[in-house]
Amino acid sequence: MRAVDNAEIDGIAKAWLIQVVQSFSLQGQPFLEQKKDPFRNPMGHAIQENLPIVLQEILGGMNRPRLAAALEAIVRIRAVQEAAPSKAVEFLFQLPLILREQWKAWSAEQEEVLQHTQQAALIAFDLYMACREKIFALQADEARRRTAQLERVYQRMEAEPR
Amino acid sequence: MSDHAPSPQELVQITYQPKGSTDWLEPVATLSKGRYCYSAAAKNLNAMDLPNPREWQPFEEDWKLPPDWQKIILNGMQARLKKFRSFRLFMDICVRCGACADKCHFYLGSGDPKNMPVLRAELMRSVYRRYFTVAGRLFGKWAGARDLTVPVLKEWFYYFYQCTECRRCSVFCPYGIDTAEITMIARELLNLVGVNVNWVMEPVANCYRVGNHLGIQPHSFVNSIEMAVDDIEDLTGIRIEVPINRNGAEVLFVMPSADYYGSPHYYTLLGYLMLFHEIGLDYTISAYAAEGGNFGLFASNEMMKQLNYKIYAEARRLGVKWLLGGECGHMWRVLNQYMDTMNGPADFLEVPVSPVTGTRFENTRSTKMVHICEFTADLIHQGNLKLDPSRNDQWRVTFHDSCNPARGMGLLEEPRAIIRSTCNQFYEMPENTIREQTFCCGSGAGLGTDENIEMRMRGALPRANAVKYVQQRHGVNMLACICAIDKATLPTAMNYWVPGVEVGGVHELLGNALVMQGEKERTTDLRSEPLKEKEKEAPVHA
Ligand code: SF4
Ligand code: SF4
Repeated sequence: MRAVDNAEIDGIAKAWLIQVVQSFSLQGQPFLEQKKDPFRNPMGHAIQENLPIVLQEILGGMNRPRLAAALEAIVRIRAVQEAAPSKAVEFLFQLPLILREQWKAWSAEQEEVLQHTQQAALIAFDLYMACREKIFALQADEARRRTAQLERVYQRMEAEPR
Repeated sequence: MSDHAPSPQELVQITYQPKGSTDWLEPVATLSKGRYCYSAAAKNLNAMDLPNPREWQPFEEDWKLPPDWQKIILNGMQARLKKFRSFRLFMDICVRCGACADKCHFYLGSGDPKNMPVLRAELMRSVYRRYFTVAGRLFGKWAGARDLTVPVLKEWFYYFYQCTECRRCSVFCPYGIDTAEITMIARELLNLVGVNVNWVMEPVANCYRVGNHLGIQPHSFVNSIEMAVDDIEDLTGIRIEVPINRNGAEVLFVMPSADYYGSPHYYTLLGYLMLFHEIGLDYTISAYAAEGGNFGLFASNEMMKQLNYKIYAEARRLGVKWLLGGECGHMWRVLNQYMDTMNGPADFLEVPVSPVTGTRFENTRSTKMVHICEFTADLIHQGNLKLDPSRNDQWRVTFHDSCNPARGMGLLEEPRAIIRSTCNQFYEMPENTIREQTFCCGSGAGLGTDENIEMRMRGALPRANAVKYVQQRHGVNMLACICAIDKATLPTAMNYWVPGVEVGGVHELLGNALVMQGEKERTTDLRSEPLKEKEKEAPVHA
């Protein structure tokens, strides 16, 4: 695969970030402006931190745990913003278009990058589903906790000899 | 290559000045599921004699509004502009400087511009301009004014129920504009035409009829307290007594009902009761004033007043001298900010004095009601409690300032003082996420319901993000707080965003550390989990 230096990764990441921000239908400034303070802008921070990692892995070694962790940070947010998985993981499908634009010639080697992107998308779909399932489990769990002690009271009342 | 990327400045130019563009004047077309609460059931409106009880849902096209709904809202608005000077001021003085724009947790978690406090308020201001200002009447859209239409009303419902009335935005507004109050007025107006949510109205109706949010009968309340007494005996070997409806006690203690029905609230209840026994407090709890919580606050000021009435009434009936209140957020907003003007003056009560330390709580001179954290911090400060913080060594603790006690009553140091004395490992979250600047749990003000979970998780992101930071840095595994809604909803948020962090009350930590006279050696904490050092010893005896 063609060697990609840091400056290039940086450039691609920036272009990607812009598209991601737009496709999230968010207004961009708060994202980018407050880079330094993750607490004033948790969503922007998560995306800025993790998008370059995703990119590095797709262009490079495909270290799955590292890739999955970075994807998770983004998808977990998307999973409470978009009910449609296609929208939630759309950002990965934007990458090949950006690469095509940046690299002009699309060599056979770079087909590998495309494959990596697809693998990343599959991981992202799984992560999205896991997040949604977690939400359902949490709803049930919360309802249980709401009256957990009251249920104990009722159990005691039933167990008591009359 | 990076040269080709536009600079941040070139990117989408956000404007905090809605006047510059008029796009925002268009109401949102669809209300997305997971981002609103279901409507209030007719039976609950009937129970409270509220207008327009009917079966309807926000996702339906026809909301079955009364035919003259527009007139009702505008008249309601006019009446409130006259009655509340603050409301008129807030409608007039915003300069759209944008200082509040990125301070709302819902905006930070959703990126939806209409969650910027300034735009949230504009949703109402635009209607105010149209009907109550000359410029708006004459120039309409060009003066940022818009007609009150059904889509606009629906948008009000959508976004004023995406505000937890947390007041974080107001901390940053140079004019002190409190968007929470605008939300409160908006909800009052919506109530006039029967547009309200069940998660608020059901607790209100239950509270009104039976006395607590779940509508549980008084004998179950008594049974819960008996269960707590048994649990404390199992833990400490001490059989304590908890007086209920006792005439002539010195103190009436009021707590949110979740403390005796829900988890992890219940462990906080155990903590209070152990403390009261240990210091020999002359107190009573009441099966009538058995709900400190007051969801009337999230509906209208009349409703809040009605539900709050029982607190002073019961204090009078029982002939107590002063009031003590448990861990709850919105309950304290009502008690601290509104109770004495709504249902006071409490001139039949005395200025609270701690019977143990002699401290006179001058700050409660008008309400006669002391926060349990003030009371306990004073006991600790004066050296009246024997504490063994190692019994909390299983916890690496951080503290979440609940919006109402922190921003509403400045209760910042007391809970921290208690945590520092009862825990060996305490770590603060970053400064711009705590104290007055604390991030809301995202589920307050009646939004803490199942169907609204996506919105809640977005709203909880800024808080969770700060917890994650101390989790990664210090291994924090306990988020302590002093609010019943926090205890109900933060476990869900933590589980989603920062798994491995539990949620608990400050008086749960106190109960763990409190060394009681004549107690047996403790082997577990209040949650019946083995204590840390016991775990280590176990293999030796095995
Ligand atoms: S900070 Fe105050 S004046 Fe500035 S936009 Fe927000 S509400 Fe308006
Ligand atoms: S009061 Fe809280 S929830 Fe409402 S707009 Fe302000 S910051 Fe957002």
